[in-house]
Amino acid sequence: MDYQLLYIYMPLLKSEEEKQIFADLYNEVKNTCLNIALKITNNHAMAEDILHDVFIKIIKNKDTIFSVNQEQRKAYAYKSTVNRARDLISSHDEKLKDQLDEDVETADDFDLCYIVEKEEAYQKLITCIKALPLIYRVPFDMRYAQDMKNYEIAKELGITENTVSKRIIKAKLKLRDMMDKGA
Amino acid sequence: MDKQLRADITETILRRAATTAYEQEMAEFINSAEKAEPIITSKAHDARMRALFKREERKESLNKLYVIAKRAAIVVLISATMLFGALLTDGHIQATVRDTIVQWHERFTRFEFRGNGYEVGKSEWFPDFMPEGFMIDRIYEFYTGRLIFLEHDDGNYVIFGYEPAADIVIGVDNEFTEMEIISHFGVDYFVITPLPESEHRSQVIWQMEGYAFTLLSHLDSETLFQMALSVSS
Repeated sequence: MDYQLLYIYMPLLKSEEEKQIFADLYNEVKNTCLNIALKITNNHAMAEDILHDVFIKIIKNKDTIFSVNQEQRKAYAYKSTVNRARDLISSHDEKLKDQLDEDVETADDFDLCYIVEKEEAYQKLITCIKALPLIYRVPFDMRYAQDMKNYEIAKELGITENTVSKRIIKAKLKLRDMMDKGA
Repeated sequence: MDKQLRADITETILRRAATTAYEQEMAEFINSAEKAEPIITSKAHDARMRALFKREERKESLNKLYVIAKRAAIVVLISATMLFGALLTDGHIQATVRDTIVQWHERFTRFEFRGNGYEVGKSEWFPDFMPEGFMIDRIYEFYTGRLIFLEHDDGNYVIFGYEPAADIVIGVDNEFTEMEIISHFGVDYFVITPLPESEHRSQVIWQMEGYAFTLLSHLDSETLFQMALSVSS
């Protein structure tokens, strides 16, 4: 068992039961989280920062997280690691951020009805989603894959709800272009 | 097809495709991460996190300290008013340094300030000079004064406070400290330096333009004095 970091977190937890749950979770996911973060960022120091952030987040949300089972907790840790790592990487892209701050048109005319029953087009959509720039992809995933509300995404990413809306619209516009042109 | 229906279908497809893409990627990430070699975290990272968590813990303890300090201050003020006559005959040494009455008791020194006729409103004061790396961590507002916590990443902190001089009495433990009075442009600064090996903090206390000020820190008293000199509204 790696106690190196574990003891650092412990003072934030109150009861012995919480400490035990946290210790078990830490031991199970620490290395996987670090490896995931390293794979996304390709930067050891950044991966360590992400691990730190994930565990702080777990402790802050411990009432919710500790009430579910261990597999769900692990999934939460992995999901938080991917979100944080992608957010961190995308936040470095200042050029894209500037573009995002611009006003955007609506994506109301984005119509995917033609995909229904066309497996090939559906697979192409999945490929296009995977190819979205991270700055679009992170809020898009949170909304559509993780079923989060805009205010929750805003809180998670430290941006305004308005910015969340803009980024999701931009993601859709980008997807429309990619689907038209081919990913 | 109805426009709203088309939009709903599009949203449903997007949701399904996004979920599939996300789950596929998560599975790939987890599979490859679980097979990867264990990563040893760096000592620098451990130290940085230790400092961070110490700070988190200290924030809580500072909150508690502040509450206790305020309670203690009220008790001291009430006691001082009731026992003032007795204190004068209680073997202490008293000196008046311009606007401040300083009483040296066996274990503590008491600073009582005279408002000196100043009508003070709500002024904001802050040191222009701060040692490198210090940032404002929190500010407690009173009716006419403030208590400001400045914090450094390395865990050091400085507490800067001020209130109208007529409202405040400050007591300083003098068992393990030395005090020096430095006059600068008509202001007397009481510079308190902890004795070597002592756990006490440096402190500077002064009165200026109707306000009583204090700076408190584990930094050396010379640095605190430089900060005190730079305080302006």
